Amino acid sequence: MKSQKKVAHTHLGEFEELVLLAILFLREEAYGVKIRQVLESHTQRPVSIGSVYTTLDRLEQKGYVSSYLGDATAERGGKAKRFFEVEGGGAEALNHAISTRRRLMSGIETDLLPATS
Amino acid sequence: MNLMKDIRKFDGAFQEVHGERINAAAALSIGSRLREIRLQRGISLREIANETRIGIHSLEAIESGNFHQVPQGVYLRSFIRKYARCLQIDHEVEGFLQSLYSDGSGAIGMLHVSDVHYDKDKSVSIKPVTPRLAEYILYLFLTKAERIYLIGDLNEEYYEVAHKFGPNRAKLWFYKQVLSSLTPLASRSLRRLKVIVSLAELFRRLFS
Repeated sequence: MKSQKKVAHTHLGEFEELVLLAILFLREEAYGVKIRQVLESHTQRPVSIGSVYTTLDRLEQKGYVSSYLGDATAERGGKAKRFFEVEGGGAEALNHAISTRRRLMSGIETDLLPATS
Repeated sequence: MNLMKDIRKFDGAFQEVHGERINAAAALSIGSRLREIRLQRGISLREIANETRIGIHSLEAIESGNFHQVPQGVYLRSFIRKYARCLQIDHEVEGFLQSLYSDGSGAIGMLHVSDVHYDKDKSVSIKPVTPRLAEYILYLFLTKAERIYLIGDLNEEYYEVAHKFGPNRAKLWFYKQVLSSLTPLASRSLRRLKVIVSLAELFRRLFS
């Protein structure tokens, strides 16, 4: 019963998963512009800054990421950056999502999976 | 280009601007220089007007050297300085301003000197002038904190796009970003509204 509740709690949406991965990928450079650009170039579909932030806010509410305000540059019109970091809970949720996929995939016959090059 | 001819024609001539005598050649030099730099960088008068808060009519008058058409003569120099600062050529224009009230035989020489070269790297090094309407629409859906970092992000990328593809593409990019951001932002506000409504409903049931 307890574990079931935990599973429901750590559920990640697809976009949430991608955003978490992007933050980990960017390390110290994880702020709005870079996160959006990484997501757009890797998913190859348009990503709006608004959807990035609404997702980040949701992740922060769940305690999966934390954020702090950083420096401001001239080309930003003197406005501060907001940097993000993945918290323990976020890493756990990400691991859970990835291992779920692995488990499912191990049950699929290999010729049904698209070839990985 | 017959600009030089025009300036020569005006050399030593004066314009009456709100009771002050202004060197007409210097006026035309300043105006045409500002216009030249602006066009070189593909910036519209509207953008300059948004940035400096100076009316387009006044900006046009400054560019054409018709300083008497600029309202409120006391502000003339401050208008010119603001415009020049916006294009980051204020150091250059300062020299012109000096000759504006002199007998002004130096104005022609100054145009030559400043015309020789212009640093190409500076071609888009203007503060981001993001489309105002789009930014305003976005403002309606943002929290106070988001108006800092989210708008900052948009500014930064707008600047990047403008640098690579020019101001028009950047504007298109900006509008696209704002419009596609509205759906997630608006549905967020809607969710908040739902929470309030359901709380109100709960209270109504509890106390009825």
